Amino acid sequence: MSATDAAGTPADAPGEQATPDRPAPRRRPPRPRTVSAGAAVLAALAVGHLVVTAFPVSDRVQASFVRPGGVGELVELRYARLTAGEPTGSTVLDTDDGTLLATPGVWLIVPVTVEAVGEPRSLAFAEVLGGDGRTYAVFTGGRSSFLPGTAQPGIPRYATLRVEVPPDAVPGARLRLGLDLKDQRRDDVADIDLGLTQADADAWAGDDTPVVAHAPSDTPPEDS
Amino acid sequence: MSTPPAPPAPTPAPPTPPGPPPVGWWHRNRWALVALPLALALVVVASGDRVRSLWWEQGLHRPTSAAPGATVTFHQDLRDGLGGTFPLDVEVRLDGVGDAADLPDGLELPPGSRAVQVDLTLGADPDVVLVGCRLAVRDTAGTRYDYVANAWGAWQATVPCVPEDATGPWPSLGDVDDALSAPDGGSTPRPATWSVSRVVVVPDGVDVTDVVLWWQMPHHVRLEVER
Amino acid sequence: MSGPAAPPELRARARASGSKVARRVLDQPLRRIGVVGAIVLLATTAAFGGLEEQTQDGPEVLEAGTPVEVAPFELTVHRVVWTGDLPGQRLSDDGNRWVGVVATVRNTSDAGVLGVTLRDALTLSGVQGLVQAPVDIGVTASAVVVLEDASPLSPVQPGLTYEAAFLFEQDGSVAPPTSVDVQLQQHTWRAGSLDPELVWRFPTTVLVGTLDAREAAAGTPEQDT
Repeated sequence: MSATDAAGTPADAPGEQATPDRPAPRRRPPRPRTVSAGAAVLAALAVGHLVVTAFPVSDRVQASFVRPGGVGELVELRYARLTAGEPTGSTVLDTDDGTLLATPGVWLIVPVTVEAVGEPRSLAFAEVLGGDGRTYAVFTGGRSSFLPGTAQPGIPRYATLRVEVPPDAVPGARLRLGLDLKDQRRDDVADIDLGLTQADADAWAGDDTPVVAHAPSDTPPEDS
Repeated sequence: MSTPPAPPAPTPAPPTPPGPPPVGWWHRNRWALVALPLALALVVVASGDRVRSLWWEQGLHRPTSAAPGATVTFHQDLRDGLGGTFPLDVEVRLDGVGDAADLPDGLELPPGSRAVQVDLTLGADPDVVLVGCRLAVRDTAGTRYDYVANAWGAWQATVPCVPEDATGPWPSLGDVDDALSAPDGGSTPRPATWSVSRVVVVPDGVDVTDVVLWWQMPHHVRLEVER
Repeated sequence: MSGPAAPPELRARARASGSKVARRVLDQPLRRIGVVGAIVLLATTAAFGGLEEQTQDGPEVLEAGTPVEVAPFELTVHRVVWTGDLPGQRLSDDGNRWVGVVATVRNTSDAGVLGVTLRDALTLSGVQGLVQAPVDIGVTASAVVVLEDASPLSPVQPGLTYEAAFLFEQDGSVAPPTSVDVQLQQHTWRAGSLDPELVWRFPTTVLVGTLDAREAAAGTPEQDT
């Protein structure tokens, strides 16, 4: 009986049943191999995503090489040797071109000596990390500025950084200096502790004697 | 019913495929294995574009050198900033490097420095654009000291490699050329050969070993100094 | 027009496949497929915040003397004055005049911000004859200066309160304004689609107010009360 049943089935749908020696019809279920390969690709993508997101390495790869220093100490960078002088301050700034600038905070003035290494360099990046945890921007122009110009190797360049900050940012303030204005990734950055205290902040906040920010020069400024 | 259908023939065992005996994994994947190092090399090259833009084109890496006193022929296709290039062909000879006898007007040497005079003789077709060249000297350690036109109180020639009163043509700035006035010295025809003397300020004790002249990095002319 | 959108051979394949879903989908007219597709597309935006409630319907009304938060600044607009002469500032033509918006500026973020961002924070509209060409957020100031020393206000340091004037140059042949529309823009701290750097971007108008303008009494906005 089973033989008869088996023989009747092909007659119902002639030509539809696949036989081993016939070409496969259009409809075929996905082969287990295809399915497992697809799953493997998806799994690999998921693992890759996990690896990339679970370990935040890109920040560390791109981080600047921070070179710490203090006032009067030589900070050696890839592109220059820097020395920050004794900071001064007041509520009035003399920009050395006949202009006096007021401020709702205090002016912080830092003399910086730049000696280029390897080839002429123009330092353009500066910022002050205030003792209050805020970042005070220093641009190549404007009220808070640092524009030392190009330093020839071996010939020290004397520049002055000026920045206006609230008095409570003065104690513990640190100065950061670098080469490229916008991009300090993977490059040296000087991080100089200015050694300032609350007493400095109070003295400057009560002082309206103009403090002079000298124009950059290859000759050391006479006073200060 | 009288002739019952024959029972289906038992499925024959799949025949063993004819051909060579089973081969090893290494052999089956030999072409992929050959392609693997090539693909790895391609990956490195393709992800290395920053090496070109951040390092190779930011320094003097391709010298065209000349022995002391020799004339060197230098060719470079310069980018014009508008997507095209223009050829630069020039001959350069270093006539000498020494302490500057006469300082440029107003030059006040910063403490601990001295003035070095660089004498060059150049030759080029009058229609070749040479404006845009940069001049520097280097010492034994490879430290570069640039020629600076406006510094230390002096105003020297803006373009160090051409006569100040006959610079030859200036690079085109595109459509705005007509609106611009002709730059100083740009209208006077430049002679076929000429000599220039430029003063470079270097720290005391620096021993100049070569003079470099360049338009667009990394290519440059390197002129050795007679020791 | 309303026949099935799928080509006949695809439909034949769907029939042969025996899949009811495939056959019925392919028998649909194109318009229905488009509508359903759009609904599915909109529904997927829910995963990325598409169904979140809009926080703001439109700009609020700006009033003089009231401090308002427009990130990264807190601005208090005091008055609008105009004058033909301002020490330390150069007009492009001697016959022109300055329209100045006097405001108190505070940077409420934790880092200094450059003046270009401040200039986008306060703009004018509805003033005839301004020399600067209007952009999508109105006409930006030619300069923002500190009243006390007339220096351009940049960078704007955090934690400091500046009295400043946003200066707009107006053609002298046009009558001076009696009232101006002042727009305040808020910035967003984020990266661009191509530039990964985090900066203050995308100024968006959040406050608009019409303020009276009058001539500065002593010729300088800082001496005017």
